[in-house]
Amino acid sequence: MTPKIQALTKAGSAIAVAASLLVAGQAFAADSALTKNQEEGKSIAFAKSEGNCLACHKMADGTQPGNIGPMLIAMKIRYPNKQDLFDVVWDPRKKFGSGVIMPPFGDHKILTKEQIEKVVDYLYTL
Amino acid sequence: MKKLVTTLLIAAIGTGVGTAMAADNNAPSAANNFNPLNNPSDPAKFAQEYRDYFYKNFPQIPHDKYNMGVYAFDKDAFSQYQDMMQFPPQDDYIAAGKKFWEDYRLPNGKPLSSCVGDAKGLRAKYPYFNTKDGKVHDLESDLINCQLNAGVPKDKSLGSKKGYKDLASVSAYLSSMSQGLKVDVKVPSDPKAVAAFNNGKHMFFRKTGQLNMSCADCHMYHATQMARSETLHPGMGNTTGFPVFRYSKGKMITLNNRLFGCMRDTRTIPFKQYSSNMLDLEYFLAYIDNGLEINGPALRK
Repeated sequence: MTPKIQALTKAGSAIAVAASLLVAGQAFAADSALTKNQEEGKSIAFAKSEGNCLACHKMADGTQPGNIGPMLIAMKIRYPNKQDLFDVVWDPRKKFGSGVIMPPFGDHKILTKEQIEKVVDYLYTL
Repeated sequence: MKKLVTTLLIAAIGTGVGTAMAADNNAPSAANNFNPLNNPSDPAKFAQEYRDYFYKNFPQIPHDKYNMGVYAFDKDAFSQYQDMMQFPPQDDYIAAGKKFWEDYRLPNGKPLSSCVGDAKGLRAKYPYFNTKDGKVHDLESDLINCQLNAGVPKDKSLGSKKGYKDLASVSAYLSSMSQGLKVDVKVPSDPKAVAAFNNGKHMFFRKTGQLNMSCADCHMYHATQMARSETLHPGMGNTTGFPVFRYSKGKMITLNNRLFGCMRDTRTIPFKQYSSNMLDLEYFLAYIDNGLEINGPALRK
C-alpha cells in the first residue's frame, strides 16, 4: 500500500467513523424523545415474532419493509381518536371488512391489550 | 330501487362474512376484481376465471413464465437465480433419485415401477383423481403407499423422516423425466372428483390460523407485492417445479412439505401430510396449472 493510499484510507475511515457517530447520535436523539411505553411499543412493532408491522408496512427507522399495507405515517392526523387506531390493531376486520389481510392482533391473541396499547402509543409518534 | 340495492348489498356482505372470502377493502384495486363467491362450481369455468384474474392484474407476466414463480417478473431475484443455477444443486438429487429408482426393490423383489409405471412422463400423470377409491393421489403418496402395501414398515418407508431424502431424490428424478411435458390434470365427471377440487379450492381461500390468512390473501390479492424483503409469487404455476431445491433450507422440498411449511409459518395447524385436505389442495393448484410446462426439480430461494 502506498503512503498516499494509506492516507486516503485513514481519511476515509475517519469520515466513516464520524458519519456513524452522527447517525448514532441522531438515532439516540430520536429514541430518547420516546417515553418508556412508546419505546416498548416500538420494539414490539419491529419484532418479527411479535407485531412484525414491517412485514407489510413502511415506517420510520424500519429496514426492508414490505409494501402490502399503507405507510405508517402521520398516524395522529389519520386517527385523531386514539381508540380508533387501537381498534384497528385489535381487529381490523371491523373497519376494513372480513377479507382484510391484516391479522386481528388482539382478537386472535397475537398481542395482549397492554402490548397493543404500547404499539398504539408508538404509532402515534409517527 | 334504492332499497333493492341496499338489500342486495347486505345480502352480498352477509355471504361474504359467512365464508370469510369477501374482497379486501383495504387492498389495492386488484383485490376487488376477483370474488370467489361468484365462482362457478364447474372446475373448468372456475379455473378460467382464476387464471383471468392473474392475466388481468399482472400483465407483466407472460403466461408461459408463470412456472418460474417470482423469477418471471422480479429482475433482481432472477439474476440471483441465474447465479445459483451456475452449479444446479438439483443435479445431485436427480442422480441419487435415478439410482434409487433403478436399484430399490420392494420386499416382493419388484421395483417401484411395478406400482406406478415407467419413469418417463410419470410426473405428468399426477396428481389424479382415482374414481375407484374416490381419492386424489399424488406421486409421492403413491410411492409411499406402494411400499406400505408391499409390507415395508412405516418407519422404514419413504414416508418416514429417515426416508425423506430418498423420497425427495426420487421425486426430483421423476420430475426431471417429465420436463417439458405440460400439466394436464383432469377432474372427471364424478361428483366426488368435483367435491375434491372444490375442497382444495376452499383450502386455498379459507381464512385460517392465528394470523387469519388465506393462501389467496398473499398469493392472489397481494401477489407481486413484498412481505418484508420477500416478493409474493402469484398463485399460479406453483406446482410445475416441485420438488424444489430451496437454497435457504439447503435441501429438496416436496410440494406436500412446502404446503405444510407455509401453513406452519402462517401460524395455522398444518394438515397431516398426504391427508385428503392436503391432497385436494395439491389437486386444485395443479389443475390451475394445466397447460404450463413441467420444469422440476426447480430452484427457489
